[in-house]
Amino acid sequence: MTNVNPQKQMSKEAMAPEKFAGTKRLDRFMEVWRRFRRNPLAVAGLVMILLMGVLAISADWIAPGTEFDPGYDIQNLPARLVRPGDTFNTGFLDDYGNPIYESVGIFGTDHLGRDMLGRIAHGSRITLLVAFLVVTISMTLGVTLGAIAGFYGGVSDNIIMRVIDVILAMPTILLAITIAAALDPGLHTIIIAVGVGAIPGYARITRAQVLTLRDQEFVEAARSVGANDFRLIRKHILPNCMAPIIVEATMGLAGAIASAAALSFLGIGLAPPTPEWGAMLADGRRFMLAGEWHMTVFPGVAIAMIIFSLNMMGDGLRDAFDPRLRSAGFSKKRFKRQLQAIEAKKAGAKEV
Amino acid sequence: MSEYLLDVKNLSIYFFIQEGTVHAVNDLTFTLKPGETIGLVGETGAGKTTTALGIMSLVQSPPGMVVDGQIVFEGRDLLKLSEAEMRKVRGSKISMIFQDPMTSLNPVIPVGDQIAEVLLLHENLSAADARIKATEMLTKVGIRPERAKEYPHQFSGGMRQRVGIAIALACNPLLLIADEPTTALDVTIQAQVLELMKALKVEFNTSLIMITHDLGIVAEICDKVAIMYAGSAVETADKYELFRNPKHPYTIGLLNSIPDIEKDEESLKPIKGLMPDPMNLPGGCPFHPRCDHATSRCAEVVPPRVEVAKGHFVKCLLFEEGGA
Repeated sequence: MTNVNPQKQMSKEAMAPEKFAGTKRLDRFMEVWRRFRRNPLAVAGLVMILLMGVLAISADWIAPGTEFDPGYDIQNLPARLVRPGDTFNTGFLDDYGNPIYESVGIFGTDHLGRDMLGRIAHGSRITLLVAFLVVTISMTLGVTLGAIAGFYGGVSDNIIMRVIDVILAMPTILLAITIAAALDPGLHTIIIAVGVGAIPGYARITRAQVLTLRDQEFVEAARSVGANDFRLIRKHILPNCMAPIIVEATMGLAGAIASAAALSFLGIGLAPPTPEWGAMLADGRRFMLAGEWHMTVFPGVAIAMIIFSLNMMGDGLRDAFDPRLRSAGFSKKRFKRQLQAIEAKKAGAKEV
Repeated sequence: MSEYLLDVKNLSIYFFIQEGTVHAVNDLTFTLKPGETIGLVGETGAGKTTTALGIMSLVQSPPGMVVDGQIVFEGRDLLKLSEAEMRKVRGSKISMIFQDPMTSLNPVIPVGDQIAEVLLLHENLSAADARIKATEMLTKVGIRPERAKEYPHQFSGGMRQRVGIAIALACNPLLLIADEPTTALDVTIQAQVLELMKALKVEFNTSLIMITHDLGIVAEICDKVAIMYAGSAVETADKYELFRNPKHPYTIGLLNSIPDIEKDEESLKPIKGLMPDPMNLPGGCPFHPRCDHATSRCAEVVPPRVEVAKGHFVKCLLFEEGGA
């Protein structure tokens, strides 16, 4: 019995190793999802964001335009400022000489006769794109800088954090306006303008986390098994500070949307015909007192809703990601069932 | 190569901090043969943990620095290795068990993956193979393999320490350093963990440096003992020799402070005084302010290391004539 293949022997002895060997990223993701699912508010936020995504993808289909209302991008002056549910005089006559009235999209039209629903739908593309790009870029930069500053300390910490302090010394919106004014207008300008202001948040959070984590015994333990600095940061330290970074990122998505809208509202974001929500809000402002409420309410509600959904999803994600907050496999339903079973047993015992 | 697996010669580690220089380890010398267990015994602050970190080259620098000495392991001086070479030694040839199992495991990585990490770093294994081997290690330390997927917070203190042992032994190291591995555990679990370490030490034929302040653990698990005081080994001897024939006044004081179960003792007999401040060590023998046999010479002359019997070294002027 000396030349038994140890590999084979082992797998017979315990079936579980293979099962464990199979645990991949996907399983880990499913675990997070399982916990996320239990938070109804967070799920509601996610659903809202997904709906917004669907809206962005199907924008052309939702607002294809009609014969009299060509859509979101082209002016149609006879149809200007039509409130939701109203009709407008197309200026054409039917066979009996009566004017033809047409209805418009459910959100009405703006001051140039463009369909508000179509503009909101197309605007969601820009909003989501800007938000995700801003967060991805500023998070990558901020986390990297913060991790280096926190882990190595000393000179690198000083240099990085002083630069961060300089950025922080300027009001975010002023910084964004300055950058946006200095560069050619366009999507990339908005992304840079909003993104630069978001870097310090990630850098500071990451640095603070890394500072408390790097002296923890488990980091020393990882070092004692031969891990190098890069591995220590990537595998041991950063995963432990994911929860606050994720919260900051989801809140950052919301913040980026608000900042981009603010820039466009001020007229230094994307150039006019682009259906940006902030710019639409700025357009609508002029007609608000004239009773054209729909031009401000719809873009405003759209902005508020996506920010609200993002914040709720962020909270849910934080709880789902942090393994220290997780109740291992605990399900209220199962717990209740078990309780009922025990009660039933007791009742049964009494009867006998 | 010499007969010793580990030969620590005149090791001195200082910490240079703003308030002054902390002499954490002073002129420490001890040796360890393959498969042997040595206990480093001493009070809090005697430099035991710093010694362990020194051997692993993990003393934080700055402020810490190895100012003198050699740590010869397998014929190579570890202090002369580059950081990259040292990383290859850590975990595969020398590994460490930490004091507090509550904080020495990464809370966001499943324990199986933490064991697999060592294997991935040092052995040419695929991720799946490393995981299979990790579950084998878990089985060895008495944890059900299906728990590999669970996170450290789902384990009790004793089980976490067993996970720590599994990590330390995963690559079959030649030398294992256990830094007070049972201090954070309750007594029944202590016994379990010690039994486990003893068994695995024999199975893997590993040398062990057992850092502890508990002479009971020494009697249980060690082959020889180094009694540390103020950063140096004041007495080094075989376990039986040390318990039967202690020489250094500090060792005698330590042994006397353990209450005898057969006698009716009214109160404990501690060694009078406190450990000296390592930033401001007394001249000569560091123990002389607390020593009953101290003479005026003790305050001036640093006692040399004297071999009073075979393998029994003492650093005390009382035994000076006996040696060199």
